[in-house]
Amino acid sequence: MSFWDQALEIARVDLRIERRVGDVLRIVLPFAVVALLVFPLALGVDLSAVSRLGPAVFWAIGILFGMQIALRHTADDRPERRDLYSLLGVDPSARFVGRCLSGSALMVVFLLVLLLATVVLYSPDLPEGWLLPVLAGLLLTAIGLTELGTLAGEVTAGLRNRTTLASLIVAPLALPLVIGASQTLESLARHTGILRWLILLVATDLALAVAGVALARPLEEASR
Amino acid sequence: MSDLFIVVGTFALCYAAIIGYAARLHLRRRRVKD
Amino acid sequence: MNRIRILLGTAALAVAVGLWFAFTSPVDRLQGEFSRIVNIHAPFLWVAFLAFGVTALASIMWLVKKTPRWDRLGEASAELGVVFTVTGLFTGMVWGQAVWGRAWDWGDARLATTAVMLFVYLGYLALRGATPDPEMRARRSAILGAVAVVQVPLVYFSVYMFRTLHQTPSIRPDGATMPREMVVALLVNFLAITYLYVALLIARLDVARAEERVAAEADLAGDAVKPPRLTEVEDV
Repeated sequence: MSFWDQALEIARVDLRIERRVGDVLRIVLPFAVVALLVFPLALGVDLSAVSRLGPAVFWAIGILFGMQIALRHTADDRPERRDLYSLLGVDPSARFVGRCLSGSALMVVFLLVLLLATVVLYSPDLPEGWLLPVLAGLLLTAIGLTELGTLAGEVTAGLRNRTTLASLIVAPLALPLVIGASQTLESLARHTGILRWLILLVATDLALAVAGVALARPLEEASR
Repeated sequence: MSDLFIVVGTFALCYAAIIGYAARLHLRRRRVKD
Repeated sequence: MNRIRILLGTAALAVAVGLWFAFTSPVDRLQGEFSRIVNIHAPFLWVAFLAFGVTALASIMWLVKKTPRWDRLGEASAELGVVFTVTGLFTGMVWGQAVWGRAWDWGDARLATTAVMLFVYLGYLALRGATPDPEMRARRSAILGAVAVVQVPLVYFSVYMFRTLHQTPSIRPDGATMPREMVVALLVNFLAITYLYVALLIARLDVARAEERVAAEADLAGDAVKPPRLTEVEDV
């Protein structure tokens, strides 16, 4: 099997498992929507503030809660499964890429639904032609966050407090994604260039992809 | 002179933290020597 | 051990000299006594970044060479990095609050990056603390160090872009024109505090080596027997 065949197959299996027993759409998404409800209530009665903060809250919650998706238990979470993969000669980089593919797909769905919920609940003031740039930002953020989360998940595999520790690792490093994503919309509203923010997101995604592929073999050995 | 007090206090706290770290190191080293 | 005592002793001396310079140099007209803080604030942050760089380098070297000394170096430098980052940020907050009425400056990209660095350090040390097996611990923290090397410059860059676009100039002056005596005081403290870091680093490495030696001798007989893992089975 070629590299991409392996990666796609791993992604397929992962998505199939998620569909059967997964918790992304069943737990993480509802949890994030609850968080969306918490913010305006905590902010008090100033409704104009709610509209203004809508986009910011969307990205903050999307990223903080979204990283849980990358930390989900996947097909190869058990050492026996990993042993099987290495026995079959699966390229560790293909495994990383495969997991990122499935994770990104789930993350995109998550963010899209969350976006819808934000628009409905917050009635944010959205500038002209916001849809395409926001979708681009959303896709790029999903990819980057999945890459980060996958790396963090592997590095914390089998540890106590794994989810919290992995989240601690991801959160500070996800700053470029937060900034790139939210600034895409803001600069659209202020009529300054959005290209630089999208380039920032692309650069982050590429850097993480390179790191993930380069570190795939030590990662595989590390997460036994 | 309360400004100077704050400044001296800041310096003191920082170096106290560093000395504290060094002291912990020293204790760890002592424990291992036995 | 004697060597280390000498190193730490001379470092303490250097710091004392730095303190003398810091408190006898002239003060800034506007900031008053608070301008003295820069003599530790800037060097602490410099060491924080230096320590981060050392941890990052040690992580990559471990991944290449796989020898324990690089793992020890990464751990030691990360611990010191936390100490100097916290004190660096603390002095910055005191300075900011006293002089500009604001402890935190969102316009300063270096400040935000330093804060991120602190949490990366804490995550790195938490990961090490949670991993009992030494080999696994070394490998995982090295990987985290390598990822951080890639991401932290991006963090800096993204906050820098954020700041320039929001046109919030940094409220802290970078390298404002200072009288010669203040520059000298700052330089002396830079040297003294960097030397302090090196001395503490060497002391910390010594402790790590000693602890490893003791741990190696303390194996229980049963530890030698491990269930076979697929990677170790060569003859199937």
